[in-house]
Amino acid sequence: MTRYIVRRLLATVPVVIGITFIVFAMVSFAPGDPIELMLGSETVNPEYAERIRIELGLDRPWYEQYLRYMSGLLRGDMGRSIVYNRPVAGQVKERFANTAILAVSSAIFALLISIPLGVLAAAKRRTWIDYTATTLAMLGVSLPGFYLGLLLILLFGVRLGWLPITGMGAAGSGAWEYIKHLILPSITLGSGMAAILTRLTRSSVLEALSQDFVRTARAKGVREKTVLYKHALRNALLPVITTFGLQFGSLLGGAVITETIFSWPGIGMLAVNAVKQRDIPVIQGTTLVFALSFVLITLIVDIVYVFIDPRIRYE
Amino acid sequence: MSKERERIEETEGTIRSEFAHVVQVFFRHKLGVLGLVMLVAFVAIAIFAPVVAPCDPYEMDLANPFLPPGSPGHILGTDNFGRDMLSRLIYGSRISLLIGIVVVSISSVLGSLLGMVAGYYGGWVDALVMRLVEVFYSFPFLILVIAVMAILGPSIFNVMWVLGVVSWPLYARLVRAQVMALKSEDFIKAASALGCSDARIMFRHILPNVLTPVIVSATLGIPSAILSSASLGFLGFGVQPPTPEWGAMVSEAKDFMLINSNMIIWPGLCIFLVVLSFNFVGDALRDALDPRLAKQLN
Repeated sequence: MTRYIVRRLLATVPVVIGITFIVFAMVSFAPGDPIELMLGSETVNPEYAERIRIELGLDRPWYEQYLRYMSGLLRGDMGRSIVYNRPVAGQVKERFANTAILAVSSAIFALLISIPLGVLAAAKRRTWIDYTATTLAMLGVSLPGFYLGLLLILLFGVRLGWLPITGMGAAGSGAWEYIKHLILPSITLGSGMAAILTRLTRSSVLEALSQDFVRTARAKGVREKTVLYKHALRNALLPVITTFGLQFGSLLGGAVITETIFSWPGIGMLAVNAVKQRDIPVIQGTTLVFALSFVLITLIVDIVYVFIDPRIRYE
Repeated sequence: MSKERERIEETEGTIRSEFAHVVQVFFRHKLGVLGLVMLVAFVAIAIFAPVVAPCDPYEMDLANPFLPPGSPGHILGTDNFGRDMLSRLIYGSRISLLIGIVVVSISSVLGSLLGMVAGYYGGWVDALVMRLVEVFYSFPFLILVIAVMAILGPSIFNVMWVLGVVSWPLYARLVRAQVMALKSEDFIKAASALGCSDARIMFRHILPNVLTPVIVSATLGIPSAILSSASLGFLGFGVQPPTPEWGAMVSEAKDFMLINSNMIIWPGLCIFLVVLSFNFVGDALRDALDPRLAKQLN
């Protein structure tokens, strides 16, 4: 098992290098002059442009720039924001926890909905429960996140006035206030994942139920409930876990939209504002942090997998 | 019951073409048929937009903003500039469908080519392509797209090619796995022994055999491309106003959502319905083309 984990860790090294290279190259290989790109096409004071060019090391050859960029990253330096003239790393650090909390609570929401619903749909196959679950899942997959978010705001925020619709609540206003601010964004962000995982859990449980070991268990006279939860679900969860890890990428992408809608001060909102202001170091920094978080999540999921599926351990 | 009958008919020697079978399975799928009907309607509306639309989608009428649905001359009301909602939605279908189809054409062709080459030649070519796939997969999709769009600047052309280029790895993986499995089949060895060129083997002999999963993925890729482009439009990084792109329309509408929710509801609903219809069709198509999978799922 240790060997598997070590191999898995080593496999992420080239991926991480690839990510940093793409993030780095976004600017350097972009068409046109990066300085012009950052400062806009308005008439720029050439002296100022030149100063920034040298400050960013853009006068050096690309491989030198990349090495410089990498050595900076290793020291926790992600460059300076052009608009705010402060380190990107600091800005990201301030907001990272907010995005992490939103992503985790959305993922929990998705799991709490999808796994019971998927199992139920499979167990009650071809009943109204199954049809309701599959229809809901299909609707969930097709609903744009930003549309759902706005509809929730219109309904629960504006019409009913039950829940707050922006920000995280004033500091020190208590846990309940914080949770209230988290509800609508989490539903918005988690529903897509919930829909996908419901479909997958259902089909995966159905597949497990058709296997020989289930037939054997039934033949032995094991109770149907035990068959479902102990025999079928356990095996069915493996693909669900894998997909959960992969779907975390869409969750992070969705965070950008959700944070924008609910003014949730995370790195997604930072990224959107950076794009609007053409603040390229911040765009690079946020993209990098999102990508590395995703790599970390998939890594964790893969390692968790080993503990759940003994077959990999003895491989 | 019908499956039973089918089996009997087949053993009795009623040979139907594969295509007829696919069509038959597809049409047994109620939601698939519903999706197809919706889709045909959307396509017809998009093609005949100038005929169907009651007004010019760009024509402003500043004296009559925020008219409610059911207003004379404006069935779905007007937006903040007094433009006719329905006409804008109708023209918007052209943009979404166009983006969906172009994006998937780019990504499926690019991905299939790379996957084919990787699977066929193996070795370092394969290693290189697969590392690239891994790196692309390790970016949250929308984040990468936003970053690239930020660099290139927003335009409908950039939306199409950025989404297309960024979503190739799915097809590459799919085709590569199929090609690797096919490579050791006798008919490929025979073709090679007959002196067929690599290109001929790949395109004449392998390609037709890997097309099925590519078609299914492409059908399901169109709605996700439409969703992504709408998300970009919503964030303001995609198709720009005043072009009546649905995502951008929702984005414009959100500034007025407290005084007028009408402007949000309709374009969002259009995105939802068009994505839903593609998903219905894609699911049904998968069931029809891949009976093994369908049997498991139903």
